[in-house]
Amino acid sequence: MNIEKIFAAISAWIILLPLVTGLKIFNRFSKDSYCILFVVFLGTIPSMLKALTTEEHHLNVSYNLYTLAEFFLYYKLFENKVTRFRKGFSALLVLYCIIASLFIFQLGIVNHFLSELVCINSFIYLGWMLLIILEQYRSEKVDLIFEYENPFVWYFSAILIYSSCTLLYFFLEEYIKSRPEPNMHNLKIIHHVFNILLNLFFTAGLLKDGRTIPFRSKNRIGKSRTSIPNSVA
Amino acid sequence: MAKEIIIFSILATVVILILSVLVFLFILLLQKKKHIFLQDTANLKTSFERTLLQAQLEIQEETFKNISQEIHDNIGQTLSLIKLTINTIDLQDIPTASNKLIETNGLLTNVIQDLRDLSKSLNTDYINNNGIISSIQQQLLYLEKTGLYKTTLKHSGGLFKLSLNKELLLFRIIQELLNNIVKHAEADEIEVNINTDEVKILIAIADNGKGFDNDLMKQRRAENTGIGLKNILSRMELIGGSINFKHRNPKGSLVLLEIFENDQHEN
Repeated sequence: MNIEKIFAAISAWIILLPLVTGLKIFNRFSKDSYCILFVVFLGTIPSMLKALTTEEHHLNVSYNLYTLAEFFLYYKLFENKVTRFRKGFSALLVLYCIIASLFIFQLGIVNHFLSELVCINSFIYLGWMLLIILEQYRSEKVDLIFEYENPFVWYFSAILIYSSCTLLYFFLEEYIKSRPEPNMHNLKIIHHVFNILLNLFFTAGLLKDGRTIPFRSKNRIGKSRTSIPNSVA
Repeated sequence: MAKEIIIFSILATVVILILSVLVFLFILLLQKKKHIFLQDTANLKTSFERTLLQAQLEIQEETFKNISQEIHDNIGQTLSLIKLTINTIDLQDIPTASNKLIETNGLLTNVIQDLRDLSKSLNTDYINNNGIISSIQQQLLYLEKTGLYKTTLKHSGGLFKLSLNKELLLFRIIQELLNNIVKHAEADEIEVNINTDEVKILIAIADNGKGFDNDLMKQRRAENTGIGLKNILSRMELIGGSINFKHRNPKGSLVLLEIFENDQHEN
């Protein structure tokens, strides 16, 4: 078993960690954490399929559907954090819907894993996160979005790191797959490492949310709390 | 080629990772600083509002004292005199009674005017509606009517508007300073010079009285006694202004007040 396979196995199974953690304490969660738990739950399906089967078509369908579902769940996660740049935020959503439709109609979801779509997802997430940062920067209020006690910090940092660091990998994925050199396939480790990190951050955020009940009453963001996209590849 | 792509991918990912972490740390730091700054501002505002409230209560207390004094020393006395005069009217002696009635009528007119003046000087709406300069002028007219003082008001410069609270506090400070002249200065001339520009208002109140005893003032400041002076100083500080007491040649005193339109407490 080479190192890439070890990372791939950990990357596939690690998703159970936030899932189990979330299911154990889900009745104490904020809206953001429910969003993340749902992302994790949906992400578990392709991850488990990948660990248990090699059927290409099933994997492609599950990953592609997950990519779309993840996008809309992250939209729900971020939407109540942006008020000033609402138009820009919604414009990115519309742009994504157009591009995703084109990709799906052109390439389908069965024969091909749409790594390009994952790339676009990451771009849009980064755009949304930039808008949130800008909003926080310009805001005169003391919002608790980036307070350590808020689980959204964990979700936000996980999505930020995962989306930015795997962007290049997904961009080159088709090329990597087409190359015969075994070393090239080791580049998948990049994705595995950040996927593991993502799920660990999600688990931390969920645990934080489960333990910090009093935080909700102080939270000026109100019911909004957050988490990150669980990307699967 | 493959090796180069691998190295490039790894390096690029590491760089992006570092950048992402830096961005995130920057956000956290920024948030923390903003939090501290806003907390400080809120504390400052609370403290300012508390001090303002305290000052307003002190002013209210002083105002009540002034009303009581005015009623006792002036209006009460005059009304007693009116009562006495009416009691001594002999209806059989028509010419004397007529004179006394004319005298009583004059006294009543004075009392009514005194009450009006008192009402104007206490009414904060008057200050708000007519501005600080007109209110000061009103105060000087009130002093002039006593016949004991010759007053002058000079104003130069453009329009200047203070916030409502500041204007009221400033007016009460000026009232207190004028009261001090009446009580202690033994003066018969009072001159107020107001100079305004876009950012500040400079007020000079001068009299030809006996002047200040600088040593006594210093001693009172050091001992934290002299409530009137203490109040004036704390209120000036509250509205972000400065006050200076000076001797005036050949005799008398000069008080200089300088207030800026905006200060950090109001932001």
